[in-house]
Amino acid sequence: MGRQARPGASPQSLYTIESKLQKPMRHCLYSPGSPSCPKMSSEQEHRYPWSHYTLACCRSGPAPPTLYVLYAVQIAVVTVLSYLSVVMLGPLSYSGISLFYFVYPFIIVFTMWWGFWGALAGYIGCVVGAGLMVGLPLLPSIAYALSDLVPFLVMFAIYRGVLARLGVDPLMRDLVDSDVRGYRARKGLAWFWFIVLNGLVLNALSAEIGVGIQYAMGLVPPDAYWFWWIGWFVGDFLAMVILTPILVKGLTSMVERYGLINHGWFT
Amino acid sequence: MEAGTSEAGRRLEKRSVRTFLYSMRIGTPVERLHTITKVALILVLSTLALHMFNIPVEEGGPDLVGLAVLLLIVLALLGAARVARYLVTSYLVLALPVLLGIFVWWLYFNRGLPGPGMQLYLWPGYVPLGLSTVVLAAALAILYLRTRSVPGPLAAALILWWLSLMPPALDESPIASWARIPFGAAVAVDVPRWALVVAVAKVLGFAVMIYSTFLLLLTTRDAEVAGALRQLGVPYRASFYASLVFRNLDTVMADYTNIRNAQVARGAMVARSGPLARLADLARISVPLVASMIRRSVEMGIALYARGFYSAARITEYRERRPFTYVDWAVVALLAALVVFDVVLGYRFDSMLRLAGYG
Amino acid sequence: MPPAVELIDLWWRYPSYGGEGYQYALRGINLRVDEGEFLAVVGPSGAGKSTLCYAMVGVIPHMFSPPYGEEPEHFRGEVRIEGETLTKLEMVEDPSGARRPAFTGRKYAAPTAGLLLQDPENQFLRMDLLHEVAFGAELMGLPEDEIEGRAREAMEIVGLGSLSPIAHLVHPSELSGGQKQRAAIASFLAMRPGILILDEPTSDLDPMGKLEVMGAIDRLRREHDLTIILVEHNPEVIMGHADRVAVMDRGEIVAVGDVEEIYSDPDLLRGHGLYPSDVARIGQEAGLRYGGRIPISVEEGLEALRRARPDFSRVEPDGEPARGEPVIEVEGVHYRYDDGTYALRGVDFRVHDGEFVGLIGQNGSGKTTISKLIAGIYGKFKGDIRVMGASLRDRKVAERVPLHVGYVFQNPDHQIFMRRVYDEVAYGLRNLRLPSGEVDARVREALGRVGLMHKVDEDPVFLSRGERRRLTVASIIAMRPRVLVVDEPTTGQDFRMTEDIMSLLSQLNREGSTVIVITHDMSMVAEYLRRVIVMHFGVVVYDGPTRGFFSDEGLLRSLSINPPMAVKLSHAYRRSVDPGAPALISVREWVAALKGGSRASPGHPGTAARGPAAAGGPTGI
Repeated sequence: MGRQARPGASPQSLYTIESKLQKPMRHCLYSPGSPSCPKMSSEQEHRYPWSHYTLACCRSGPAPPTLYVLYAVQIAVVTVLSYLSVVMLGPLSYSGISLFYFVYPFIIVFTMWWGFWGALAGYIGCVVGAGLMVGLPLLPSIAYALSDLVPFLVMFAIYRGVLARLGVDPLMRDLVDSDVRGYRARKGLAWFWFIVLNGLVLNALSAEIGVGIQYAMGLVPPDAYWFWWIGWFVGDFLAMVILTPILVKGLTSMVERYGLINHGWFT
Repeated sequence: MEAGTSEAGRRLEKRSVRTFLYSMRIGTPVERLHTITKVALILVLSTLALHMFNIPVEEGGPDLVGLAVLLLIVLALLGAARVARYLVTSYLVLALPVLLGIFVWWLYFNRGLPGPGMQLYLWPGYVPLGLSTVVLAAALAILYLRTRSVPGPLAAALILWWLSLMPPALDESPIASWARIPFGAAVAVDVPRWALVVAVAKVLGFAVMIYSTFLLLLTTRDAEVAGALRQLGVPYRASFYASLVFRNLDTVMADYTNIRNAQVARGAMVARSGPLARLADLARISVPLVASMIRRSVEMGIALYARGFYSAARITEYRERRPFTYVDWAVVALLAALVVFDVVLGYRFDSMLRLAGYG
Repeated sequence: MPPAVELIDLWWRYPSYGGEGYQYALRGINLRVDEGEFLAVVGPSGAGKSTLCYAMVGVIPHMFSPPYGEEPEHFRGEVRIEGETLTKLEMVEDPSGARRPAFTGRKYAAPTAGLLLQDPENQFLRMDLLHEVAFGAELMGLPEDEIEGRAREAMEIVGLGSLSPIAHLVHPSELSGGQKQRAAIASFLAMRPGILILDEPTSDLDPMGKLEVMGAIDRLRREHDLTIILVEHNPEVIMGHADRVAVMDRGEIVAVGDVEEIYSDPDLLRGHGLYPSDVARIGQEAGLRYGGRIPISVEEGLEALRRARPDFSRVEPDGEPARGEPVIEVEGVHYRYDDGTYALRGVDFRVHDGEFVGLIGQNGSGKTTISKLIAGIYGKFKGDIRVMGASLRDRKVAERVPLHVGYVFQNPDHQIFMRRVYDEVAYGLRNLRLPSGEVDARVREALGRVGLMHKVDEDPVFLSRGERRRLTVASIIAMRPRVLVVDEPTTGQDFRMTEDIMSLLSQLNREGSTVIVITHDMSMVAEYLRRVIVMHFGVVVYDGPTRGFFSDEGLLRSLSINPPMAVKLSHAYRRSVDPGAPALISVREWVAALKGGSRASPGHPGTAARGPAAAGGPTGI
């Protein structure tokens, strides 16, 4: 998987390219539109595996029709999968904490591709799919579903804003491939950040928001707080570590081929 | 024709209409309620329930009577809409074991309450045979007959509940035992007495929240939601977007089922190679699911384009709004009364009972 | 009067994001459709028919916009509707004075032209029938009472008038495929278009749905003055409605002409992988003549037959089929879905080893349900099902049944799980815990059988539709099931692909597999299947030889089943020429009776009636 930049050539290291630029200009590789950077030729731009994927806000004009509908359909998909996550593998508690919240990796990949819309899907999926459709009340859901929104927005911002400059693919292809579009992937680094950022930090954030809000609303018995928290954390962690690489490997090339990956937060 | 319709000559009559979850009968007062009213209903009732079961012990503890009143309101509405049967015949019946679980959690994991304690058995040291045993056996039997299996956690919860009915004080009563079979040593936990009240309050409160949510789902039509959003002032494209999401829920569910069936046809159930492989199988549905997601989006995009969605300058609102009727105002009045009584004035329902001479 | 639709030297290719460009999908199309005309467009899969439809409405290029600056490499030419330019690529001056290519014209064809797609599900965009029908009019910004009037009127025209009073309460899931398609037509009608473009509107529908939709189109034709462009495979439909036919292949229009002109040339059609009409095939091979040319319709064929002298003794009578052991026994099966729908109300039948059986019925008749029960995909039924003697009431047996009864689903996209053809076929085998050497051998064997060995390392996403379907068949036959159930193998396929799939299934049947085919395609049933099981509302209404089924006109009518032309010819012949003649049901039989060449008997395709395109195994699709 992954196209070679030139057939037969070995994958180049990103640092080979970087080293040709002076240090202060290195960030220009990842934000080609930045005012202080020299204009890259379109040839150069096309050769970087993820120069298109930035944190740009909005593009002029409305979203292309396919994307407009796709954002809606993926919200429906995440909602259905949230519902199934809770119903199929059994709720650990009535708070909709599933033993293996397998929709979580889907929300990760959808956010990677579609920015805000993927995170929104996570939120609506939690409120409607893992919430309403299973009978969990609307009022608390609206609040604690932020645990399925905020961490993903943070993840998107960090991956595209910070980690992309360190050589980590914002589409996470380097978790499973040894080269991405002709450039050698830094698998170790990618996995490190994946586990630390997604698995530990953001997961803890999600559990904290989720269980915290539930506790504040009197939904979680005080002695069971940590039990709940650990259940949430572990359920998401396992799902994420096992399933995300499978999803990335199986789906990214398909979605990219159709030109459906967002160039920025919204489109 | 389809379920819920009958032919009267050439005119077709529809007796029931498809809602978000299953269907409801036309002509009931609940059917005439506006979606906004129903949402307001569940929000207000949920808030009141939250308020009522969070009252600390020092201020008198949770308002059990109030919670019971709220629950009765919800159940009455469910009955009036003639959808109550779905609560027991469909997967919604899982709310009952969930409520049971809530009771058990809050009983045993709430040690920090003031007041005297009581002892509850985790294991009484004998196997009791009494009324409670009969009830337990009946519950397990019904569960087995309905679902052909009894999930472990559920059985454990039931047993814990059964045991929690037997504080040592009841050792001699017929609830606990007509006879005893000694087995093992007694293990008891100290649980504050208030925990029992709180646990019951939580169950009632959650029942209010859960069943009012079911009420919303069972009596709201997907088509009404977009209209309700419009009425609240949401711009056209956003409310259309919401209806697009609803429209796709059914189709995505159908796709998922087909894909899962295709996996079964390839022997997915036969390969018993451990939970990890099973989960990887679940991940594999992602490929066909996303592929059909993309295909569907392209086609729907084309259909929208062909219909003139993207060239529409001025879009007429056609039969989106629904007027508020007297039923809506009646419900709003009731809600307002409850809010005033409970929150504004701070009264408790059980204080009314006390005034009347009970409790 | 300007023409309704005019395509002038139109070239188009889809933009690609993967680096390699695509081939041109439309090459130099020049087409002119006059006002009030009914044009049919036919062509094999991949010919570009859908692309053509999209171009007429503006979907191309505006929904698939080429990257900025690359427009001339993707689009050339002009599209005009009702005299007005819809799309044209012109050099336009920038505010800064630079000249660059840009699209000019109307861009959106609505409401002048409407486009109906193949899949009824993806076109139903609202949550109830009334709003769906009113949608187009809403988007036009018409006043409310105007919308109301137009919507009701449109529903009457398409035959949904009986639903009109309750239309605001009807959920899309309560409508059949045929009803949804008609609702989409109504939605366009409410916009009062001058042109209606229909891209294979009946492909995904059951026979009843097909009749309903074509009936609606009929009514449109007769009562309103619309220009209609219909992409379709079925020659009968085309001959019954169209004025002219355009034949497309590989992005070009290779022939345009009157219906008679085109359909009396079966070689032209076959050369492009298209369905010639049954009667034309008979006429060509048996040398029938009607007014100096080959007859194409049943009426013409009948006239030609009056002068011919068919010798029915040349058609072999149905012998008693050699019956092996029963491999599937269904007894008194009742089944109810979770939502309460009663799908099966007492189904009984037996399938014997080595049989090649058709399972037919409308959507909702229960044929798919019983097949999925047999394959072990659904559970919990009343009654008994035995597969090779073992009863499916036993949970353990039911779990292992998928290994013995292979089920090929209708939609290949729902059952492709891997990103490499090899892995896809190996998926099922790995579930069987076979040693890797065995897996490898079976994968190669299966891929060889379906002719996909050359694509073994390819990503299934890149395969064509026909190839993906063959891949799904390969992944099931690699598991070596004793019984094969195939769900709608020929829906929406062109003639060549249908023949390939059916010859593959016939070959598998000859090698010993029992094959059950679920289908709506009556021509295919008549040509290949000796026995049919017909279901209606959850019960079996006919179980026996295909010939008997097609001979019973009353039964066919009551089931709303449209028999193939060869059968209709036979009915007509028996009615007006010779009531004692046997009922012939396929082209082969007629040709044998008229020409007496190779002895054709039912269920064993002879080589006589196959055209040049069918020589050899599956051709590159």
